[in-house]
Amino acid sequence: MINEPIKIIKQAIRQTIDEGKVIVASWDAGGDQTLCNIRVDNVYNDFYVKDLDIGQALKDVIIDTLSLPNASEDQHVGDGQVGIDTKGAVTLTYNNAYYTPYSTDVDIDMEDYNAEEISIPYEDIHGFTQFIPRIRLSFSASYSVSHIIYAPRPVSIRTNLRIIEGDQVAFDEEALTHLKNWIREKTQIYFEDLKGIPTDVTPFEKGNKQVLNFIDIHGVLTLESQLRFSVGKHYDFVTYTKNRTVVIIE
Amino acid sequence: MFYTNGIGFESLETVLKVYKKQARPLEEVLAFFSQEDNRKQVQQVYETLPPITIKEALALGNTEQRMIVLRIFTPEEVAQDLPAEKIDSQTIKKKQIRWDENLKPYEYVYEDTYTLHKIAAKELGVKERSWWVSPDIFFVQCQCTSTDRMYYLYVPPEAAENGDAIEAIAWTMQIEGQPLTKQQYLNLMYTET
Repeated sequence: MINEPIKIIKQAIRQTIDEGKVIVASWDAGGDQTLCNIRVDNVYNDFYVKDLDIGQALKDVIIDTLSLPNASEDQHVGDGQVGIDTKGAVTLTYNNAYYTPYSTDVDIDMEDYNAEEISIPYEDIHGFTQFIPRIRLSFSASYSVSHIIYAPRPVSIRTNLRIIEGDQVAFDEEALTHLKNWIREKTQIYFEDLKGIPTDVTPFEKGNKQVLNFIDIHGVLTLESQLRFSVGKHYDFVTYTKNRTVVIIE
Repeated sequence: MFYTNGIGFESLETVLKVYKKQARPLEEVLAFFSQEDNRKQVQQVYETLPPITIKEALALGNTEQRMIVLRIFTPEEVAQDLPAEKIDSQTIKKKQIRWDENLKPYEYVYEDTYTLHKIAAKELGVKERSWWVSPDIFFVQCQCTSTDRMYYLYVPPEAAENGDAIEAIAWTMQIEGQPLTKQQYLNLMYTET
């Protein structure tokens, strides 16, 4: 039975699609978060009719229909287009990548993490190393499949300057930006191993294929003017779903 | 702000007193300061400053500051610097079979002493609230018979309520989730010997 708000939501979706607009949902769920965004003609989170948040209602039904997790080791990353089928039901045609640390095939037992230690020389033109070890200059960066989907930009590097002993040390913004850019340039190559969800995936039911899902790099500037860091690679088993259509509102 | 162990302090004097407690020479301490005013100040006062005391450490307002500074004191210093009251001391005579350099067994008799101490809560700077009585702190001092190292083991007030050092040390061991009674502990000790 259709109650009043559902009827309004369906009408709003139908009208929006009839106007030739495209309603797209994208999600990244798992690991204590369920992110789901709705965009209409590429405008995010602005889908209201008479103060009724149609976007929020759509998010709720998509999370519910696809059983998108929240507190979970599993992760679902995907997107889909909202449509109306011949019976007037609201549908979602979507692609999804479902990552899990565990294979459904008991015979597969693969390592899910490896780390590589790397050291490269740093030309210290701003004099950071003269203060080491009384200061600690560390950095970290991480990149995952969902970053590729949601933030396709250069990886964001976080630097942290911590005074360990003595008085304050102040570096100007330009010096820190230079260091950050240099680190980004030198570490970018390690993030390139991570690919997004392939466009030519063949859907399969069993999560028995292991893929790189997450890379994290963290390191420090050493007294010997070396950037010493580790590159951690996390692997998950993946199941792809491609072009599947489900009814989200009858 | 001035730092030691990565924790910030408002007072330069406190940080210098910490360095003094760590017995750092002036030259090393000076290398920690870049600003000219601070370096001058360090040079002027460092040699004359006393090391930080436990009472001063406990009076620090910030938990992280207290944690970092208290870490540099040994348990012996804590027991000696704070007015720890000796509640009870008991000695157990033990026998062990040991072997001499010719691998000939001989009987070794020794004494094992356990001393129960109390530090009043007010000495630790714990503020009393009307609805909550802050507990005094109890610990047992004992010597490891293998290494001769002195140990100071915390025990909760209920383990010390009878003022018995053996009962208190018995609490530090458990069988099936229950602390040992004094008699159980003594039986086990005799079994060991």
